[in-house]
Amino acid sequence: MTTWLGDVGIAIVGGCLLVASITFLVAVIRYSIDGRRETIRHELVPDLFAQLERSTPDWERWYETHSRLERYVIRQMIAQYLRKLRGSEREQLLELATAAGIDDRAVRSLESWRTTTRLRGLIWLTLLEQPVSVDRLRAASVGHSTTRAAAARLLLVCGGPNATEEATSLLLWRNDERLSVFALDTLYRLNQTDASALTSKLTAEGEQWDEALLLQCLLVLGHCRLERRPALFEWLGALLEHDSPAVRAATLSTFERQGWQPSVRQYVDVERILSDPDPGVRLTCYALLGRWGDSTSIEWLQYAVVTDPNDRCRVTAARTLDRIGASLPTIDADAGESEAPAHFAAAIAWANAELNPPRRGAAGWS
Amino acid sequence: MSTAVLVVEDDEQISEVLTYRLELDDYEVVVIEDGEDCWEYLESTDELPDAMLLDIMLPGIDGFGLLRRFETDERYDDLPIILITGRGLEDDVVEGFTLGADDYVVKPFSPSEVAVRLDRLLQ
Repeated sequence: MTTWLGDVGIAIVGGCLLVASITFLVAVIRYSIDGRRETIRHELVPDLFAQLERSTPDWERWYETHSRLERYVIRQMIAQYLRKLRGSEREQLLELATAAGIDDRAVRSLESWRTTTRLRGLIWLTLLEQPVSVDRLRAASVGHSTTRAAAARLLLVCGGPNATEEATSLLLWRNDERLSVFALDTLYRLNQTDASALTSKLTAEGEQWDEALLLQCLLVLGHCRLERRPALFEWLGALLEHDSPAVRAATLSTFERQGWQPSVRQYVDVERILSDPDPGVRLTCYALLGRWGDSTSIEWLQYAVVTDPNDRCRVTAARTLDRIGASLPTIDADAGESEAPAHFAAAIAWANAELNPPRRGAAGWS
Repeated sequence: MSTAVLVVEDDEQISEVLTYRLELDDYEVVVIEDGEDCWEYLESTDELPDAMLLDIMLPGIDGFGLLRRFETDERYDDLPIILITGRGLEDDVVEGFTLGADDYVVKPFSPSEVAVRLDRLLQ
């Protein structure tokens, strides 16, 4: 038994040492290769720039004269500089990419069974701004969120008929998945000047979406230029009665960014929202009222300063009034003896103190 | 005597491209990657560069911070400055001009275009 345990122990220790040795060896080799690549890069940069300055460089010949490792570095440099350059230099780099077979390889990558290979292909195609048919894109990308986002970005970059709708559809393929930051950014860029694609998806399918996805789309929608379509605003107005306070607040934020016109305001029942049990919703409503800034909104904010049960909300209402140049509510000195005037006075004094904290002068606190 | 250009840019690839392109046009290029280092460099030298390419997003002090410091010293009044901005937002452009920049380029940019803008500025 003891011998058996000893043998097992030795095997485990031996296995760990073997793994550690292999890991160390791989790390040393990779470090060496990375160092070699960096050296090659510094040697190639002047050569590459010299070629870029030529009117008609023979890219194929130039590329073929380099070793396998040098060509790898050249491809890395192409990817890096395509992200940073425009104009004639970029055009030259695209020709170099063609000479290096990068575009063909990227298109072939879309057929790979490996997600990472397809993703790499989509990234290259985006850098090269090379369009691919929607059917082929869809086939290559729908299986994974990262490839869907990459395909959407390619459609954004290349454009084409229905590109926005197709790309938005790809991004919102699953109704139970949050979008990555990259996907969110792509969704915004697709819809920022015309949010028809996003609003169509939202109004048609939004109610089935996960709350997290819905919140993300409301955030994006709020930053897009929206047409004044009654159907959209009615749909958004209904979200103000959603069970989730986060959705109610996000909907108010979306309204806030659409301006103060009556065509927008009619969908927001301020009185009902000010009695919302969630302080986050009321906070967002105060920001909305501050954006509108008319006399009615000011009255609502003044009302909130004295009546909101939440400290932070009262401060927000007071700060909003201060920011838009409106005054805090005042107490009627002739009011009869009751708790109400005392409560109002306390709230206003407290709000005033928050807006005007004591400042430290050179001689101490003033 | 060649014209000296200070490139303040923390992105190595961009500063490489700009350096190569400007040296082709016989400019003498100095690259600094940090805003605070740039300020120390300028304050320690009697002779300012003939022009400056200034990135906005920098470690240390950002481009706008440097422009604000330049505003406080008349020594920098005649220094031509081209801002390099990765954002291209209207507010950034307006702020840049308000703080005294003479021109701007938006990333991604054409190095040839930067060279032409610099030439015109120095004329």
